[in-house]
Amino acid sequence: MPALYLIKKIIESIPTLIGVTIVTFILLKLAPGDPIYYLVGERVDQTRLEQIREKYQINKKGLVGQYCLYVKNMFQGGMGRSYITNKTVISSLAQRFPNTLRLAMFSIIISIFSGIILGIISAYTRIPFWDQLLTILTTFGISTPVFWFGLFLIFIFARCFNILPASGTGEGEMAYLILPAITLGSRSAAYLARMTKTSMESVKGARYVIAAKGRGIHPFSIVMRHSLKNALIPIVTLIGLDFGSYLNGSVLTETIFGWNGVGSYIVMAINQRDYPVIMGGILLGTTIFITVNIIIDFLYVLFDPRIELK
Amino acid sequence: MKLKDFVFYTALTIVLIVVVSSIFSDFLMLYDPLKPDLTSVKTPPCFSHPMGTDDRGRDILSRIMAGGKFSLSIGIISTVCALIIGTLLGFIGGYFGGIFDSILGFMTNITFAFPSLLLAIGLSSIMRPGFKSVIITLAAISWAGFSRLIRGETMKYKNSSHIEAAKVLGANNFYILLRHILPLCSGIIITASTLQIGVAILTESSLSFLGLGLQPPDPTWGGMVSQGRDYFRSAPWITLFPGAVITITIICLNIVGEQLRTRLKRKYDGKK
Repeated sequence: MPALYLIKKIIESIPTLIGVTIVTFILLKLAPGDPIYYLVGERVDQTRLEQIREKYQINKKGLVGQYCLYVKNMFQGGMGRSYITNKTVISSLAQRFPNTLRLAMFSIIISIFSGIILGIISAYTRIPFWDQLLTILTTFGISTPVFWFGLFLIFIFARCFNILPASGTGEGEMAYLILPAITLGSRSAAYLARMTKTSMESVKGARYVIAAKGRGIHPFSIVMRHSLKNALIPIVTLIGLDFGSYLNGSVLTETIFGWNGVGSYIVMAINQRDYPVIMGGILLGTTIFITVNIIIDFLYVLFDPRIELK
Repeated sequence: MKLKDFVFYTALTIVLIVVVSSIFSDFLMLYDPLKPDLTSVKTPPCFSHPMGTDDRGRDILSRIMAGGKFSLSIGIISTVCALIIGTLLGFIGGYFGGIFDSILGFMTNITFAFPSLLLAIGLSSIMRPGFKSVIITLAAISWAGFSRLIRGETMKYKNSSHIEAAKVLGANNFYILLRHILPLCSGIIITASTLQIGVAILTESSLSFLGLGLQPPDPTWGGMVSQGRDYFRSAPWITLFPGAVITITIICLNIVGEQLRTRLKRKYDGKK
């Protein structure tokens, strides 16, 4: 049954994916400059130009034909080649993806822990002004521009105290990971704290909680094993959305910290007007985004068996 | 006065201060925001330059005021464009339904499938960067939110009895949408627009930061943050102040938007 559901979800997302490829194709078509010139240089005679056009089948088909070629190329040729390096876009992206993945994992872990713990504390304790403090914190987290927060962290930890490196990927050391991960994770930690609080408060007075209390189960265990598990669905949704967007290369964070991932690669491509790379990056990012959403749908059942897969 | 009211009015005042000082920046600025002054390069914040000067000796405060004009007008104009497109399409989809609604649903789904900053980067990278390209980009990524909202509202109201009454009286669809449904949506439109202006300013500053927004020498808040990055160690104020202004403006816009939402909700619920 779950397999069937998965297949259904994948089929449902196909029209959206086709739409997404149409959008990136149109953007690529609208992009200024003729890609042929990138291949041969601008001083080329007309006949040679026609030969190359012939070779790459550019003239032969109409817009629909070109789109089909684009899609075919995507599966076979790795999303086309970069104008600058002439490597396939997919190989360049794949080379940088592990770094992006590492950063995304670490920041989502930070935001899950801090967000959920803050949320639980504010749902269950009566510390004066805690609510106001949380509101202020989350408002800041939502409104601060990521790039400014990152620079602010560099200012404090790298310039004033000089305890962490300001930028770079390093060779896998933790120290390089900390500041970018905090920058990236802070926003979703803010959202998560808010969501956890409301979600936990909604299950607070439920009968199974009272029943668990009656059986003499330790309050900590009630919170973690009974309440949290039931409050988890909206929290998981939020985590999934954020993780999905982290995975497509958090463009701003990676740029600020000089992190060698997908996002900073896209920015480099923007500066060089390397359109196949830009559109390939966008396409990859969107596909990952959609895939993560499907996985999240699937996770619901794991956390809450009451949900039926239809 | 309750704490919430105090916060609301403070936020509103700050937004007004930012708006007024941006509109009248030509009169309020103490220095020319574009003219380099090489005698006072990278001056730290002091009495004559409250926020210091940048790497070409230009006064940061004057540049923030001048940049506010661009950032705010981009935020407002793009939101209005997105609102007009979104409302129109939302009306068509919600009121007439059928094939229009399916096409609209497909289009919004695709727009939502993209991570919004990535789509913004893709769109603005194919245009010549400038005022127009930023507005087109921002409108193109944010119309879908409005259209989904308006579509839902339209569907909610379209079968209510006062609409039926108007139909019986012979009102045509255009009249009904404009005079009966639009006023009902106005509360939600005002709230969503306030919040969207904040999002638009944030996205605009991100695009400027990446070099896809307005081009130098025109100052924008995001562009100023980006420009100061190279001198971050020697002159951190070049980046810190514009960033702080972005943050404060957006926080205040969010507070105003949220409060408007709860106030309007209370008002409507109270009437029922």
